[in-house]
Amino acid sequence: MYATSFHDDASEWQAFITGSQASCGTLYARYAPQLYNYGCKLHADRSLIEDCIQQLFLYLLTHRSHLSAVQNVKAYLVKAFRRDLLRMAAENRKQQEFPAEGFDITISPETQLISDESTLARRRKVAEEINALPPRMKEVLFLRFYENLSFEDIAAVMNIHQKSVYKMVYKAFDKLRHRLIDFPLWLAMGWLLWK
Amino acid sequence: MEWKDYAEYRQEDFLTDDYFSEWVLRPNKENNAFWEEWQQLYPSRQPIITEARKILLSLEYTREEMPAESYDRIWSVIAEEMETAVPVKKRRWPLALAAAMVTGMVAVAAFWLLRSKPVPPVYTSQFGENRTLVLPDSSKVILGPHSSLRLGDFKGVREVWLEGEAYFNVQHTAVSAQPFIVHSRSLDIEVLGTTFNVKNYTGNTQVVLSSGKIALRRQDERLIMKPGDLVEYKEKEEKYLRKEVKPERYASWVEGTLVFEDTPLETVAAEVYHQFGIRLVFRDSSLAKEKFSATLTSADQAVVLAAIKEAFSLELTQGADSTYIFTRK
Repeated sequence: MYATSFHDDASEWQAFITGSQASCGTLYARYAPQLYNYGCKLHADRSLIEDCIQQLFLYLLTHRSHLSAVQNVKAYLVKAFRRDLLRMAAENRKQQEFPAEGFDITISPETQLISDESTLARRRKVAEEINALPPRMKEVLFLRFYENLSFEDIAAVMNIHQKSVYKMVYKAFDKLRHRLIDFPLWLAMGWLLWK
Repeated sequence: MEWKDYAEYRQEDFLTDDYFSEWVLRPNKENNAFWEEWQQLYPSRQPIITEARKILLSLEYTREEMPAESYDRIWSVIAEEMETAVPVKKRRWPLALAAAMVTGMVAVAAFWLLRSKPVPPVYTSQFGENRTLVLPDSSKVILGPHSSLRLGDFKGVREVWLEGEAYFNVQHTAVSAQPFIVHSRSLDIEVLGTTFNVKNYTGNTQVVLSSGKIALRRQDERLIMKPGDLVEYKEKEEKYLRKEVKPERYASWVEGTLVFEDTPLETVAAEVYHQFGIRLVFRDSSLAKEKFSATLTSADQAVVLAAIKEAFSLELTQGADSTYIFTRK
């Protein structure tokens, strides 16, 4: 149901813990860039994120004979990476640098090109409302709809109950719907006139 | 795909539905066919579907690309680490060649051993499994479920770090009167040939001594325990609780027996979570505070669930995966 690579992931993992070097390369190629992207949203210090990725893979490699089969490799890695990164960030607290990107949604240049004004105005409104949500809620949305993790996996990654994950998503959209109902058409029209 | 009661769905329900979001974000032949057909059957619901789709499709995120040089640099570190752990394959070689090879291999092995730091092993256990470990000094450890034990190098002081629960039977060797130390959160347990149980699932460390002698150390205080003592160290308040108990009850999990004595159900729920990885939910908060006493031999999750249900005559329903909900009748 989730991610088509789910099954090859599990067998890739099995090969990895039984010593396959190729699988180690496959897992790294598949997940290092994803973890990097996720890390950038959690923390501003790129070098810390890179260290954390290196450490995670070295850890897996040196402990692989003790690792057991995992149900969902991606969720497992995301969880471990998040935990390590937050811990390292806490240990490394130098002077507060600029904040992390966070889990804001954006409107890509491509979207801006292909959308008509009213669609765009509406999207701006959606972005504004979603981005005003609490950070944890936004992280849940990101993990659900961008990283495609199940409610159960997100609960494990963020160390919260599955029910609360579900509730957060539901609440976010419930709030959004109410805000969009109030979103007047003339505002969209306004964009047209203003252009 | 069964026909859920999608007809009753509101926009938020669609947005939290796995099958719906799969169709919007990762359409394929099968889910397309389903939703096309569904919309034709329920034309009145079409606006809601369209709206929900639009919202999901507007969840765009910027993607940060990992710089190529970082990607390569980290990979070369990993690859180098991998080289150090190349398994040796057995083959048939002519004897002379084999001898030459062996010498070569020994040399290579020695070279690697000298240059790579050995990694201390970490043993982990899954939900619902106990693992019996024999440490380098032949001490025995039974590692409880959902726990991990990291070993030091055992070259001088014998040191282990525990997360979760474990029952120790430490070898006391007169020859090497090396101390044996278990690190549990901020507490160190110094051992002098002994059997005892340690757990720190809750963040507090609880130590129960069956036989022998141990000392708890924290910074520079030392507290000597005698057999039959239970000491719990509260991390937050930084204080010790001490009482006399029957130590065998606290080590009964080793044989698969679970013992609860006036344990609040919320605490039982935490224990059961570590044991079996299942979540217990109590419908009203007064229920979570109820005290539960039972000795459950060869307890699997069904036994525990049934015992709680019977003790308070509750309704038991299964929620989403591995959540069990108790309600008062």
